Amino acid sequence: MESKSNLYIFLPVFFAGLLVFFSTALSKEGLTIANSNEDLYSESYNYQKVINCNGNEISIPNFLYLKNDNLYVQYLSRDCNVDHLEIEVVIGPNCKGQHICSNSFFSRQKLYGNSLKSILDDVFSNNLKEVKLHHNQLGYLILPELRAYPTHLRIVWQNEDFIYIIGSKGGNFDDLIATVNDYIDRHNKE
Amino acid sequence: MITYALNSIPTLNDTNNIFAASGNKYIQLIIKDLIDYGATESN
Repeated sequence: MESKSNLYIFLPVFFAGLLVFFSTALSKEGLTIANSNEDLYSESYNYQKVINCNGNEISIPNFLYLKNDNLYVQYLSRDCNVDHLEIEVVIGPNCKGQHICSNSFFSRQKLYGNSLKSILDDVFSNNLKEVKLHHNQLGYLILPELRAYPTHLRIVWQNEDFIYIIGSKGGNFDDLIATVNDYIDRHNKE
Repeated sequence: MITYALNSIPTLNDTNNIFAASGNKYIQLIIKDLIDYGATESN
């Protein structure tokens, strides 16, 4: 009887311990974390210039202005391919979807056809502040807004095939421009 | 994939729908912000 009651205590404690061990290991090493019906990838941010998405090496900006050593780069598998990329740099390993711990983001989206690029260039140039970027590219600045949570300072730019957006909280305009230009320089050397 | 009629010039509202189909939330947010602010294209 006593051994049976000990078992009732031991088993839940044992399985709880296993759960804590594996969840800690996963979040520290930055492996896949189940997220409803999509896989959320989270890896430590160490100024890496590429991430591996679904078998493809995808280039990401070098966010040199980031200093915190508890940063993670996160993305959903569905948002990480050569045509469509959305990544977020966050504070801590389990922050996805929470505005407060989001630091920076980068988005790269394939454009199909020049009409789309033209209309966006037109709207951006009519409504946003222009920023001269390397290799004669033109970016547009979107200032952060005061909401219940701080929003990102954003720069959007286009080339022939893609539209790019980069955003940062807490960084400054010059840091963000330097990050964009570094990314553009890398891709114009390739 | 983003598709639209190639023989027509999209409007800002069209781009909103086009990028909604792409599932790219950051672009959608910029287009939505521009529409909310009353941004317009040239005639």
